[in-house]
Amino acid sequence: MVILEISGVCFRYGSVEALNDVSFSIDAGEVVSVIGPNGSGKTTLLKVIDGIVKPVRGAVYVDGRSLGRYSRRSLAKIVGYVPQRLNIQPLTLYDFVLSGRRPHYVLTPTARDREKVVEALKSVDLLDKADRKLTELSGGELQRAVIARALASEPKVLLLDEPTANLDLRYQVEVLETIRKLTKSRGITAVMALHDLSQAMRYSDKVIVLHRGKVYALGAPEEVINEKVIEAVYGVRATVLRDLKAIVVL
Amino acid sequence: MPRYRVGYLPLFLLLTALLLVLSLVDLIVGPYTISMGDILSYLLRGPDVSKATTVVIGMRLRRVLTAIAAGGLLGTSGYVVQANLRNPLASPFTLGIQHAAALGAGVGILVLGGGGVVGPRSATSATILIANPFTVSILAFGASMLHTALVLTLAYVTGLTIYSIILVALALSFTVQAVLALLQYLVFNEIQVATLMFWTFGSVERTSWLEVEVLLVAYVVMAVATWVVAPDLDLMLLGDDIASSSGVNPRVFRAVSMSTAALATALTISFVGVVGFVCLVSGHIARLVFGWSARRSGLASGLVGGLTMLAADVISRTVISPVTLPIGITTTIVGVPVLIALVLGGGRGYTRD
Ligand SMILES: Nc1ncnc2c1ncn2[C@@H]1O[C@H](COP(=O)(O)OP(=O)(O)OP(=O)(O)O)[C@@H](O)[C@H]1O
Ligand SMILES: [Mg+2]
Repeated sequence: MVILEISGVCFRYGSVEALNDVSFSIDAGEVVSVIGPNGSGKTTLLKVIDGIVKPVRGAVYVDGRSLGRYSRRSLAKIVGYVPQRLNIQPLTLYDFVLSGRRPHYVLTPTARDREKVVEALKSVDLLDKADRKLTELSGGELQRAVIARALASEPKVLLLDEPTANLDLRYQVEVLETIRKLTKSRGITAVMALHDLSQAMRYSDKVIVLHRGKVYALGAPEEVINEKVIEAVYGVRATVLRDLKAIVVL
Repeated sequence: MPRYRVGYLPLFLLLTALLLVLSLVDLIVGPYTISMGDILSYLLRGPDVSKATTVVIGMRLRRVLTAIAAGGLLGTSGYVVQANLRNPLASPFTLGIQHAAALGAGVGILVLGGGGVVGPRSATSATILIANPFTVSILAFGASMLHTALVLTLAYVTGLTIYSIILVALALSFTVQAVLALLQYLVFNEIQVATLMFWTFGSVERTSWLEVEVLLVAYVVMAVATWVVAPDLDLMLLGDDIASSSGVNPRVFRAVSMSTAALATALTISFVGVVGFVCLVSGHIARLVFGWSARRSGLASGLVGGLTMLAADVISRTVISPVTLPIGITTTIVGVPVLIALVLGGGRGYTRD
């Protein structure tokens, strides 16, 4: 079942063409990695899917409905977003994660909202730091906090912009495992921008390679991530160790 | 279930209690001594016109309520603007509405002959009167709203981002200041200059009961509205993208909440003059004590604003009694030490990050 369809999307920042005729579709429950060099349009693509910026041409369909037919709030209930950057403020971690529940309540958070916050904090191992201020967390803890915030809103589609940046090895693996588990157990669909090609290879069902705002390649990780594509897109010679699912730069 | 180990309710009650105590002090102190008994009988049995104290209590009650409502409005709007612009140094005054208000008041004083000096002209003995205070207020209010509309419209054209708002506001306020300076230089006589100066300094004693009622109602509306949109204020603080992805249109929210804050501020300064410091400082004090979540510090900023104004009024009326110092000056005397103490002591929210 297709949950996400992008068709002919173009986007530009002034004269900078960030996305050029991007089309693909994603099935529910898939983990999709978007890879590509810096500035290739990964962040922009995620923002377009979340309705944060509007494409100049083309359309995005979530769950069969075009984005234009969602109110911002009803879209927020379905799509969760883990941004690459945010303005951290001395809010407590608990209040920060609770702010992710905003689309679900009208005036004040309900007991269920609070339950989801605790659950989300537990899933990233941060429940004991719930009373800390965001400004008093380490870079990796903050990254997990942002993921918890997105999880708290129980999205059907989770967009993650470099979710493993700033994380130590253990949490890189744990975050990716959590994402994989969520997709399998709750049918959540995850689209993540990644820089680590080995991780993309290990944890995704589908890989989209962006290059200068265009889809350069798309498909199963073993097909898409190969020496030729890496050289063409990154300009780097590398070897793919298929049995280990690892990429070694030469 | 977590959380909130600190009890916030006790803190709120403490603030409210402080507000009551300061109100009483403000009612009691002054050249004409009022006793607790007088106040009790005024409050319980209603104004008794045969008593001399009734007039004094009525006058002082008006200024107490004005201080609470004006401080509350200024504190809350300052808080809202700071969250919106994600800038601790911002306030509705960043938009430059005080200059527009002064220009409006200036025009009122000029055109309507709204000012005059009574008695010998020295700083302490002369009484400067604003002959037509209501008209002056309305003109000040109109000018500041016009200014706000201009700022927000121009900023809208350039995307309604934080920077566009601040830059446009800066440019427009310098224009307004230049026009006012030009007026004072070319057209105003010395009395008109003095009257405008007096208006600008701020005072909680020139409000009529009607104006007090308007301010109180506005404060209640503003406090409730701030409470309602508090979760969205938190989102705005985290960034436009986050707000957008959590269901809040940052541009619409910013336009609406900034205009509301500007409206509240314009209303207040039209009635009590330019009392800028409360606007800037209340939000900080509230956040340092109650934390950054807008549900708690948003409401608290209004109470802190009221407290600051009340304390300032007590000081205004006692330091060199019987002369009353302008409250625009004494709020700074109250606010600066509190802010510095908090920043030195517990202001980690700002010094970190
Ligand atoms: N706000 C902006 N204004 C102008 N140009 C922008 C803006 N944001 C991004 N760009 C440009 O758009 C292009 C795509 O940027 P985008 O952030 O989508 O890249 P990315 O693939 O996420 O890169 P990275 O790996 O560095 O995060 C880049 O050329 C970038 O310079
Ligand atoms: Mg990016």
